[in-house]
Amino acid sequence: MRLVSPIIQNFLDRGYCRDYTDQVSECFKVVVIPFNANGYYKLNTDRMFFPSDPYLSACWIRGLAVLSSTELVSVQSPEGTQDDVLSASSFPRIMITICNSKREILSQIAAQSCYQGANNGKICFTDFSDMDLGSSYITISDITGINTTNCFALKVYYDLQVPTQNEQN
Amino acid sequence: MNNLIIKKSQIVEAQFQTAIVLNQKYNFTEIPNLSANNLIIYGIECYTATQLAKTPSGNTTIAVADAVNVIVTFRNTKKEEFVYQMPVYSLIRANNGGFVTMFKPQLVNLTDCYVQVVAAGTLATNQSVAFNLYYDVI
Repeated sequence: MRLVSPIIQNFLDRGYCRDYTDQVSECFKVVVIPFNANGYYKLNTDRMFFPSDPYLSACWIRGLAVLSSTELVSVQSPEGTQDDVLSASSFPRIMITICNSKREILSQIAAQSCYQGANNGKICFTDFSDMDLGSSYITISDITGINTTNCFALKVYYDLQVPTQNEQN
Repeated sequence: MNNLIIKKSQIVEAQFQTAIVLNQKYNFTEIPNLSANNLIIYGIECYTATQLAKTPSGNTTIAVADAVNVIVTFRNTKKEEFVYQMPVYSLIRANNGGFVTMFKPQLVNLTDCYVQVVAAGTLATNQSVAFNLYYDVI
């Protein structure tokens, strides 16, 4: 038998929390922002957008976690290059902004808060049914030590089916 | 153990706009996104420079060592202090095994909320204490 306090039961009913040992999602994908010297992915301190991903944008995003070089040294960028994953020391300078297709902000998260290595292995649980990856972006407050061989990689845990309003509640 | 699910979130800050004075109230900066009266806050996380070096408005956040020098009070729209003088250290996710602090969902008037300094430490004018507020639309 599992005892649950009324306030936690209320949170569970509203979808505000879940057991951290639960299965996170059905599917998983790493999305990458490459850092280039020029062009769309130019490394700078302004907004740097994720590549558009219509498939992922139609899914239900259940969790996010920033990938560090201690987990994986390099990933293939959307442009086909093999880029070095950032080290965790850069994360305090990075903020992630998740938007919908109208570019309305759904969520702002510090990258460090989304890094499992700093949070006892726990990912950020999310409930984003209308996230648009191509409208979402990161901002880096200081690019010292980050160069064009690096990239920002985000682990995305998702379900294929977006829940109906009744299922969410 | 349950951990928070992010439905929506917004980073907010309380800036030390004057010289550091112990126990003075430094109010939060108003955020238009959060000024609607149909938003309930159900989780709060504090960011020091170890989590986020600069706030979205470009202000420097306090050093992690100064977290023990600052307390925060959140008031709801009924002017009740549902979080009163809580150490911001306790709201840092990394200090709680990765769990985000959750509260009974509240309608919050952000500009009524404030931080106070209990010891100067290395705190300086214009630094900010940043928080991520997790909220839902009702």
